[in-house]
Amino acid sequence: MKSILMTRWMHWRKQWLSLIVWLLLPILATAVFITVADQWQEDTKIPIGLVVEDDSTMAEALVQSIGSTSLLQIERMDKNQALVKLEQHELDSVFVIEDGYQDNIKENNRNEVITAYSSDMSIAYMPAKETVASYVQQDAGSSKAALTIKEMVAEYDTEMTWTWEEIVETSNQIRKEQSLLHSSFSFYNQKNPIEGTKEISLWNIWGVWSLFAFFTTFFIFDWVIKEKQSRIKVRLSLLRFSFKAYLLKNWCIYLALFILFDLINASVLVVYFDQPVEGSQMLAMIGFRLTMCMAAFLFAQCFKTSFYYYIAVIPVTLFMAIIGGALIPIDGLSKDWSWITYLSPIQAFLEGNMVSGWMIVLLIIFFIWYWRKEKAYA
Amino acid sequence: MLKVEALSKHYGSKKVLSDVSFQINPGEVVGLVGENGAGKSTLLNILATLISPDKGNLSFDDHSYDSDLQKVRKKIGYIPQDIAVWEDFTVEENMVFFEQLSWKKKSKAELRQLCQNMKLEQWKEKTQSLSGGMKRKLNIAISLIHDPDILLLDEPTVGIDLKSRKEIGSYLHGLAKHEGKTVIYTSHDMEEILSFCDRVYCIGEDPFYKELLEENGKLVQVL
Ligand SMILES: Nc1ncnc2c1ncn2[C@@H]1O[C@H](COP(=O)(O)OP(=O)(O)OP(=O)(O)O)[C@@H](O)[C@H]1O
Ligand SMILES: [Mg+2]
Repeated sequence: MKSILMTRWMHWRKQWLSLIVWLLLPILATAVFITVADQWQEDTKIPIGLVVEDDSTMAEALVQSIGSTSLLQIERMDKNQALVKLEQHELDSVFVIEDGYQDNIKENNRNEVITAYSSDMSIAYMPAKETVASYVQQDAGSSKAALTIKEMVAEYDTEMTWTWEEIVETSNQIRKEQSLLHSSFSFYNQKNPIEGTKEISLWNIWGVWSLFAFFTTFFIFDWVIKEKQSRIKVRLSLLRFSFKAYLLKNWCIYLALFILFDLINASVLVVYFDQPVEGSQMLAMIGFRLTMCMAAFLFAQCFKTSFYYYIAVIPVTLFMAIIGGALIPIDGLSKDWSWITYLSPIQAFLEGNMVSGWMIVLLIIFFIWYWRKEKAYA
Repeated sequence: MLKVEALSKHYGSKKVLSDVSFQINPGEVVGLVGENGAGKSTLLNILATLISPDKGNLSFDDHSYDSDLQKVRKKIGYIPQDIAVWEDFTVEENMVFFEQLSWKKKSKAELRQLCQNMKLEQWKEKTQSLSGGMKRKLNIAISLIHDPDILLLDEPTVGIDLKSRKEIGSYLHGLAKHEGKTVIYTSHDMEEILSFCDRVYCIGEDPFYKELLEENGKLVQVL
């Protein structure tokens, strides 16, 4: 292994600048992307309907807090009106502060105190919900009052012919089916409003990061094609170890390098976007990295020239990112086809799972690849 | 001793080698001739374990190619027809790179000496900026790092100047005669074949090579 490390180092020394740039690209690109996108968002606030059915001081304070969020443009109205506007997509989502809000909070009542309505076109629902939830948490003042929002999902077909009654009925149905609200992204922007800044981002920072990480992993793995297709291969086949062992050992070195830079990436994200990161999330990150490295390695095996490989990588990455919900929350879509998100390894990462279906499948293919007889003798 | 028995190889419907058998003793230098596309490289590739034959038994020093592959590989020094070096590395880096991954540890001085035996003096120079002939010399030197017992050279001297060619030729000849290595090489240079080879194998039906070589008193076997 030492000699492989040494020979790999000889290659890296020749291309250290581009290698470092590629390795840091996910975090740099994420920072630029989020900063630019948030700047642009300043001018395009997202309209949210707020229905206040509780006339307590606490409820009023909550309205104030939500109103001070720069991302959201709050419109107060009655519930009827709000739902009609939601149906017409004039509002992105609607939050109802239920009657008895203050009393329930005071009694640490676990019943839902806020009802949230979204449509299948809601884009800001996720971040808005997180924000509202965090203010309610603040009010509840205790981590025990964990779940305080009830989620209502109204689905409209494209003709938007649903009546308000139907929405309410569907909502009631969903209310029965679903338990209390849970956050579907553990990697979702977890900015804590208690700490002062009232900024939230529409974008899922880890989602954006995972997209760029996916992309750069595949690009860096072009070494597989370069070494497999070059004339050098005949030499690499006559080494102390088989050519496959040579590739496998190099793969391990690349994996280690990536994990090292992931830690750097994560610390930058923590500092720059003050995203809290827990141990389990670090494990999810390592699992995600392992999955990506296997995927890129095996994918590269299918190509004869780097050029076609590069061309193929771009749509694959975008597809994975979109269905994985990395770029835009696709709750509207995934309500109907919840399986679709499992097609992307990014989903498992964003949910904070270390092991994904992809990882297991790729591990199996990886072993088959290694143990299958080499064509020439071995 | 290298033993080849009833070796056959075809690509698609094209038969390249059919039922080839021969034996080569240590210390022998054997030439391989034949027109373009006759199958010289194919044979050397099979002997180098890089491609597998359709049929046939091969062994070297009683190690079978089928069951003792790694033992055989350890003894093989294969010099490919296409130059196989890292273009962005210097001569030194190329030598060190392959030394690290090879069967034998060598010091830098030994590696440098190996290049000098090939008449390659540019040690710190980037391979990219070497001439074609110099790259050929490096191509040979890399394959000799692990002191292989059997040298398979596929047109090793193309483009190398006459003086170096003679020197490399006699160096390889010396390896066979003094260290008992087995040397097999292909070349389109008749003079080189005539002056360095003990025996010649001729691949293909065409009697041209056989007649030409026998006129000059060489022992020729048609494969
Ligand atoms: N990978 C391959 N697939 C199909 N046919 C091949 C392949 N490699 C070689 N051949 C064919 O096998 C025959 C022998 O090729 P080979 O390279 O062994 O010839 P050669 O004697 O080395 O020729 P040259 O003197 O030009 O180097 C040729 O007709 C070639 O077209
Ligand atoms: Mg050839």
